[in-house]
Amino acid sequence: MTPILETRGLVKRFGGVAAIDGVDFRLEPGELRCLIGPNGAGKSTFFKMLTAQYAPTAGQILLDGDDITDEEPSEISRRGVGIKNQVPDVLDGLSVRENIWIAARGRHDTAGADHAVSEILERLNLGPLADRVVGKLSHGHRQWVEFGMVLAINPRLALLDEPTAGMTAEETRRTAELIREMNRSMAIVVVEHDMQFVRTIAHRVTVFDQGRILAEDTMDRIQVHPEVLRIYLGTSGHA
Amino acid sequence: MFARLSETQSVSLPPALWWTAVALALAAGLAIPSFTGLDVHLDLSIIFIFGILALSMGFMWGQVGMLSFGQTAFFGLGGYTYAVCSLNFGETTSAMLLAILLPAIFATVLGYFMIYGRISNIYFTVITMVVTIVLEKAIRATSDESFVIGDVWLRGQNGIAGLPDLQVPWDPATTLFVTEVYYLAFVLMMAVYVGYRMLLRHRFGRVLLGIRENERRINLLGYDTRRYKLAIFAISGAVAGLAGGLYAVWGNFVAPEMMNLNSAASVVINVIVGGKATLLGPLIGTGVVQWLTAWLGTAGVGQVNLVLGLVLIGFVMLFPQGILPMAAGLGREALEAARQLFRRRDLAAAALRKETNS
Amino acid sequence: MHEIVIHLYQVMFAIGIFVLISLGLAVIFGMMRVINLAQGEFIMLGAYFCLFATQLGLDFWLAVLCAGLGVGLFGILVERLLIRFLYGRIMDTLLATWGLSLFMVGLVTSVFGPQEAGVDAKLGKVTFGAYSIAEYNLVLIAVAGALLALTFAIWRYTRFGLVARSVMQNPTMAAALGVNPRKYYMLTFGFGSALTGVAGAMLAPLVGNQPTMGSFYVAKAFVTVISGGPAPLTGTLYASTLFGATDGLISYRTTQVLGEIGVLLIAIVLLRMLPLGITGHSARRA
Repeated sequence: MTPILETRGLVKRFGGVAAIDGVDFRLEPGELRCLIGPNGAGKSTFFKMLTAQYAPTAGQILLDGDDITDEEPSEISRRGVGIKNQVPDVLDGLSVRENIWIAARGRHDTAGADHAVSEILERLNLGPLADRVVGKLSHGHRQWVEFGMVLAINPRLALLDEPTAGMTAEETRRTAELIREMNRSMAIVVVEHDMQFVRTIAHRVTVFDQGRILAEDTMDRIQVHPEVLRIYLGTSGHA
Repeated sequence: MFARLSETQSVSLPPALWWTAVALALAAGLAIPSFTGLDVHLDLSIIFIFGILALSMGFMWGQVGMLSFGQTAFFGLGGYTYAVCSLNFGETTSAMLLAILLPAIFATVLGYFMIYGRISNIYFTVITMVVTIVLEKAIRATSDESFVIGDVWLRGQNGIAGLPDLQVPWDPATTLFVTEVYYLAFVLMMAVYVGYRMLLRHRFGRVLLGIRENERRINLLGYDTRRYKLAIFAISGAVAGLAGGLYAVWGNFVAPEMMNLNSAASVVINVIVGGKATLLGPLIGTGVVQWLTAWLGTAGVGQVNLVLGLVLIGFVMLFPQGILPMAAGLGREALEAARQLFRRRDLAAAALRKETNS
Repeated sequence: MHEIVIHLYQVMFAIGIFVLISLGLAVIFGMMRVINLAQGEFIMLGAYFCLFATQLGLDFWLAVLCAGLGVGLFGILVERLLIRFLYGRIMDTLLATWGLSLFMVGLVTSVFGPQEAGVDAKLGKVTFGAYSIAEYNLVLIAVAGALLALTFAIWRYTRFGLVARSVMQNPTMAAALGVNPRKYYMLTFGFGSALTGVAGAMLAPLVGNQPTMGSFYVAKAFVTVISGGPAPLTGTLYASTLFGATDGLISYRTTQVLGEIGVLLIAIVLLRMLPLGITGHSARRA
């Protein structure tokens, strides 16, 4: 089966430093994968390269077998890739409804967008906040708005960078539920630090370290992988 | 922050209310000529024409976040297009249409290089200014008799005078006189205002608002923001060209001053004084500044530049939101202060009652 | 043969003019990221300082120095009264300095009147075959080169330059090391203004000086600095060479306006290809 996402020898250098240093990554259609690794391992940079926010120094990115390495962010989005960035990346001066509507309107006609917006507002419990200006909302709520934007473009591949950062325990639980639900219709890659959260949503995990893939296996085996324990779990003590 | 909020609110102003306000303004504007003289018609017409120009600039700046100093270049180009074409053709309808079309094409070509080159916003601003300066110099350099387009000599810094009045498209024998030009300028200004406003309610306009807020996010949602920015730059070039054509009709005259730096500055001043957050701001600002400039002229202040410079500095430093949101803010504050006062009085009365009771 | 030399001279002269009018802006915009739209009026002020000083009977070269000093001090005043409130607000800086430019034109017009006035540098001509070249123009080329070298040396090799560079790159870090960043912003702005003042004085004998003369230079100066890119001094040198050569050759063969249009067209195409400017790909700042 053609992987939905594949990278070959991906490299990104900033000045002399290699943030991503030869990454070969494969994701099967419909898969839910977690990326873990210490800070500065290159996870966010990897996401930014997949969505053309950074141009690779070397290597290839393939989506459904098509080379998208040199495409524009908007083209990649149109191919069905949605991203939630690490810091809530929303339209601060506009209302919650407008944020999600603009996202939805790119894939639907006006009536379809209106319909999608009300559905998403309901699904994310954002209804009461629909006409509030996003910039005035809490960090957690802005995270939800960005989730709403990703849902609104109805991607085939969603990239979620630390979706639970700044969320309460209850919100984190709901996020896990939402991600599993989204996974029924799309492939998902999640960058996450919270090991408990990772265990609840994914069974296959990729470990990044110093811009490279250190290990890739099921969560159970990753937890006892000696290298991983040394660089990551051993020092953080989460597991 | 305040500007953004007020804009979001104004976009979601109940349409019924907004249409009523537009209808009232339209009725008032159409009624004015019947009880005023020709001089008033002339003075108001030019305010409407500069209002159109200010809208073309204010929309891009306030709603999209693109600060173009090139609107006067398109304005001048529109004026000169009308001049050259109307004199050559002996017919004004196509001249006016070309006065809109040519600046739009020029904006598209220029915009392509800037926007698809992905130069930053600040460079966009500076390049549009530089283009304006160079275009003005180019026109000024045409005083030699060899600079002729068709039968029309461009006359360099002297400008071209004696332009034909605008003909009624379906009846070329009839031309528009002062009061008819007033009606035309007023209706077109309202049309441009309503048009820009309608734009904001639709997909294209919403995406533009999104670009102002976070261009990267809009790209990641699948919109090629360059196309949107280029489109609005071309549209606003056309609107500025329309204003330029009307200006040529209004005075039967075009000159390089239409596109010099002072004209460019006064457009910016009109917008910033009124406030760029709303579409009403540039119109209000144009009215206020035009009136102020006229008053300064008659008051014998020799150097209008000096005053305009201070006004610009003052607004940027002290009132960057402009007078419209400021007035709204003051009104709200006054209301709040009154409410506080009453509340305090009630509290005092209550306290007094309590004291007397105990 | 003479033809080639005279062309070379024309090009060098045009490059010299570009360097002169852009250098102060390169310091202020290129290094501090402060847009000073009144750059043209700072040039105008330099020319008027020179004009005024020579009318008082001062020697021309002393007048040039006075202009540098005077506009430098004026720059410091502007930084204290205006610019320092606007650091980090690049669009507002641009608008406020535009206001400043209008204000300066208005002020100088009301003091000196709108008419042109000339300055005589009292230098002769050298004849070269069938051509004669004004000595002053040769001196101007030398002065432009010397100012560029001087700025480069100050920026690269003096303590002031070192500290100023570190302040521009990381004000917080510099402040933590005991440097007062505000002082260096002020002095750098003053330094850039002084360079612009000298440029204005050097241009004074070449043109009819009038309050609106700034608009003749502001476009060229910005095009040069923007096209130069992130390394302001080397960028200014490269861009001045490119545009000076273009302008010199076109203007010499046709008209000045066509020269300027040529420069603008090249700049716009250049920015389409290299949005970050000529030095956009070299990470080093100098």
